[in-house]
Amino acid sequence: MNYRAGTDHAIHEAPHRGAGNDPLYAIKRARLVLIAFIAGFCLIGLRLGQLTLGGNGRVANRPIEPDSAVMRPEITDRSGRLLATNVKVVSLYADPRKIIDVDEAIELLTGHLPDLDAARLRRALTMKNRAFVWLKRGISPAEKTMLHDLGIPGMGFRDEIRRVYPMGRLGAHVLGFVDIDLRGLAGLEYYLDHRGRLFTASLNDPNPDHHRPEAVKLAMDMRVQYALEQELLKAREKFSAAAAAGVVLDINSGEVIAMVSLPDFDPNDPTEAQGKDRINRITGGVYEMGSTMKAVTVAMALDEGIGDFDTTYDASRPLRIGRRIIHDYHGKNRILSLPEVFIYSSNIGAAEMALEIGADRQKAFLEKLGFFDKPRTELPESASPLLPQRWGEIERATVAFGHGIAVEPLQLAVAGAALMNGGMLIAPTFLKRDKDIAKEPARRVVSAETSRKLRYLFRLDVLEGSAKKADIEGYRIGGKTGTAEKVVDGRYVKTQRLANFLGGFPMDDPRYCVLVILDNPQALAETYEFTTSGWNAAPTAGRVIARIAPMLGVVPKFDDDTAWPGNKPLDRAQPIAQ
Amino acid sequence: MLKLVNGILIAAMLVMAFWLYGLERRSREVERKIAVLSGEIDEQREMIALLDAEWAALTSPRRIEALAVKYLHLESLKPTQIITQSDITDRIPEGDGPSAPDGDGSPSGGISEEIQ
Repeated sequence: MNYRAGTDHAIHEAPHRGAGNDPLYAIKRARLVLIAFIAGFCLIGLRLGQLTLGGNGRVANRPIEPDSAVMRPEITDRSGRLLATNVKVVSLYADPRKIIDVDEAIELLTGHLPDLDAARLRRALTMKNRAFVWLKRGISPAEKTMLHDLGIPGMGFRDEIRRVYPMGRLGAHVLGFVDIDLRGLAGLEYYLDHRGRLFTASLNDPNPDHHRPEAVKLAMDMRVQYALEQELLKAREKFSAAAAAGVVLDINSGEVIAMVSLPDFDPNDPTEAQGKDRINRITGGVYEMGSTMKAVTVAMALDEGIGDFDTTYDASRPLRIGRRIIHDYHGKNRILSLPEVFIYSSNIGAAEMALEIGADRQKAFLEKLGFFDKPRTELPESASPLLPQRWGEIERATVAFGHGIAVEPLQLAVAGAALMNGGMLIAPTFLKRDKDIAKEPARRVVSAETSRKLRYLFRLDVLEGSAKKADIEGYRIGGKTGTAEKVVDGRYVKTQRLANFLGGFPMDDPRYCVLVILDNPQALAETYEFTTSGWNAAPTAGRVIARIAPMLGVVPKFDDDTAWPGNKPLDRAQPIAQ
Repeated sequence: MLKLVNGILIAAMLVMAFWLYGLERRSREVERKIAVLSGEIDEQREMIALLDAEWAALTSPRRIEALAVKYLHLESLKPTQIITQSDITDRIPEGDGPSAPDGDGSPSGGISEEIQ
């Protein structure tokens, strides 16, 4: 009763004693806490479920970091043929202290790996003070299983990644090579580690499959590369040249389709590349290119408006500048028109053009074509041009025919491409590039009209001038020959020459530019004891083009030469049909 | 009321615990399987890379040319041998290839028209 009374009392008293002591309120409060907890746990549970089951779209969206450890990407040519890849190899090592029976071990090993040398193996295994000796680097998985099953004590395997260039020497100067720790030391391999690190990282990042980053696509076409290499090998052997080099450039995109420098090396065995004669002659050295530079001089005369097809130059006698006398090699000893200066490669005519235009405009034109700067491509092998110290009359005259100025052959090819493609200078690249992207960094250097006239002159030189032997019926090749005397110990040597040919095809709508260089080619009975470019570099370039044009999809035409009518160059001054 | 709620919660907890245990056991099993499979995938990938390299070495132009010289005795292509599709019919020698089956006079039997 008391209890009831107490309860009654409590209930009765409740309104007066405040909400805190109301048991109903206590239950309500407990319920509130309960609900809050349930809600809290439900929330956590839901979020957990969401994190476990749901996709985590935003997490993958990290910024690209150039120094994140990325696996060295594969390198392929422009159509995806593999040029460099990583192969996991197993290497066999031994701990000589743990070997129980050396004779048995040697017998078993040589029995299963016949190329192991027993004497060398014995020396390695009897070095008791060593805890680690390599027995064989790079064995196949099958060999590993076999050796593992032999159960020789003290033997072990270690996984290693090795960079492999399945095509061997092909494109070696473009690819470069890596050291034993897979660091790029030359060529594009160097680029991937250094200036191109961000590019390398970008190959990996958007790709969820981190085992194989996207392959680096080169601009190189492996078939063209091989054809160029083979023709240069043949030419180098035939003319006993000290070296040969060549480059094929896409005129409209600036892509380097092929680049060969002989002698080359095998990137799988980079020790070979250390030799001084193995440098990349296309980008790693500068040369006086000789008459090929006359194409630039003539373009300058046409573009700056100081000359046209009917302008004449007096080449009837050698040109005297101060104490120096400028001769013509293939002297015609008469007054020449501008096209004749070009196709007969008249030093006097070119010098006269340069003297007429003046130092400032000549320098500005050469600078516009990029001859004053060290060219920047992906390759680390790059050389600054050698320019005259002062631009006196004699220097200006010699620069006009390609002496006294030494440039990278690639620079000349790029300038040549600009003269052929309608006047746009496009920075070269060794990586695959879209034609539309190539338009952006392109810079107009000569007018479309000048470029059209140059194409006519290039074609004329092959039809009637010094480059006749470069002609291959159907492919409308145009070009300019150049033969420079080499400088040995600071003096020009008449007996040592650098012969080169700068060409393009097809000239009615140029698509590819070809530059061939032969270093010190020897005279043959077949060349009538001539060592000038028209007898060696030009026909070599012709053979290269005959081989690569079908690969590059250039359709031969046999009726186009009607666009080049007439007998005398002077009569051909009319505009050419496009 | 509170006892009932507690009872339900305890029961739910037990059920959840068993369910979670089962789930974890299964997920561990699946994880093991994933590890085994991704190991196999890695192995296969390495194998593919190896085979790719081998394929590239086998199809390198140097080797193909050597084989072609040895077995095929081909001559190098002349520019005059490349013609357009529309000229194909003119180049087929008499009595070679299919003769005109539909009587339209075309020695290739209208093949080039069909292609176009």
